[in-house]
Amino acid sequence: MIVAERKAISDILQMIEGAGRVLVVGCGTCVTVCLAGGEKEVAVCASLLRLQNQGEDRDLTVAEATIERQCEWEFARELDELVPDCDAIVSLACGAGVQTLAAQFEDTPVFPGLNTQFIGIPEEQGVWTEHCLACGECVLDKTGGICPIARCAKTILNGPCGGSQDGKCEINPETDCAWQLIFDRLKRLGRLHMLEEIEPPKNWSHSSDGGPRKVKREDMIL
Amino acid sequence: MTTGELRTSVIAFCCENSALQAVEDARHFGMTMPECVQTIRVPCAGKVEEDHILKALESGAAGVVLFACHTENCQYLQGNVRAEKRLTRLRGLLDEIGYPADAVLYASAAPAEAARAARILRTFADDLASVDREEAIEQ
Ligand code: SF4
Ligand code: SF4
Repeated sequence: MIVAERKAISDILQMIEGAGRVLVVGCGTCVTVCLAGGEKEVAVCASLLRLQNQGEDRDLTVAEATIERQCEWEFARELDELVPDCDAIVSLACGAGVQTLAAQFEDTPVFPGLNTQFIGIPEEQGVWTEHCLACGECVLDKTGGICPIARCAKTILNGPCGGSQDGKCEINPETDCAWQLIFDRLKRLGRLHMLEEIEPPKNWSHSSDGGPRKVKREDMIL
Repeated sequence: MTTGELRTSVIAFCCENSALQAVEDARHFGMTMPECVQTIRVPCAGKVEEDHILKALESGAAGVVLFACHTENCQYLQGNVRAEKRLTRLRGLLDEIGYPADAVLYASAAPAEAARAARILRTFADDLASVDREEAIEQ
């Protein structure tokens, strides 16, 4: 899932300065699961904006809506009737959701209420960790299903580096060394010989270094 | 009830397995209780979410108490632990917007502790009354 965190309310307030009618929009998919931008978080954010405004002279009304997925047109269009009544939208979705709303509602400013963090998983209840950097050319087949791109601080493909100590990464004693995890996993699978292969430098043009990426399914294009 | 009327009130979300009985007994036995307390029965304090408490403040309540079971006494094991953590987080959120965080309180009481529940509510209501809420909010 995409993992995000809410921006400080003071930042959101700054963005919506001057707007009298604000619509806070949540997304029912990734950010609901990581407790950043679902229906509940929309209610909390909207309440905080209204409560903050209680001592102010300004007239502020804050409406709330949560759609299934903000990054899809079909769902974004469900807001068609609500948006004309507002001066600004605060989107509690990942960056893709924010941009979908911005494209769908060209005449209304759309502001990000979240900081999109990473593609990750829930490590334990209330803790999420990064697991994929969307590098465009997955190498998990060679690394025992553990990603060295996202989970090794140096994104090295032939690890570990000299900083790996007692299974931990040198950047932080709480962070597992991805290459230790890879080693342990391949050992368990009886595939340690795979580490004898030297992995050549990665072609980063498949990643964001190649410019904005696009995926096409010709058979699906109408 | 209008917003103006509510501004002097305290809303107490009370766990039906513990504090609710205590608060009801305190009333029943005529213990000194602030008049402005409205109780809301909840199946467990851990069921009360941040938005429920914020909505209560938005509707004009001067303060909100989240009344749970004592430590390690929750029928659902962790409900009170979650409730307390949630309240701590909520206080941080209120701080973020410059709203007095002491307008929300976490407390615990056993069903038989009517006197304790009454004392907690009295102290909380007195503390709230001692601060000019409107002024505190505006600052
Ligand atoms: S190798 Fe690339 S695509 Fe595969 S998990 Fe890592 S970052 Fe994601
Ligand atoms: S210690 Fe491990 S995870 Fe950290 S940078 Fe080195 S190889 Fe990568």
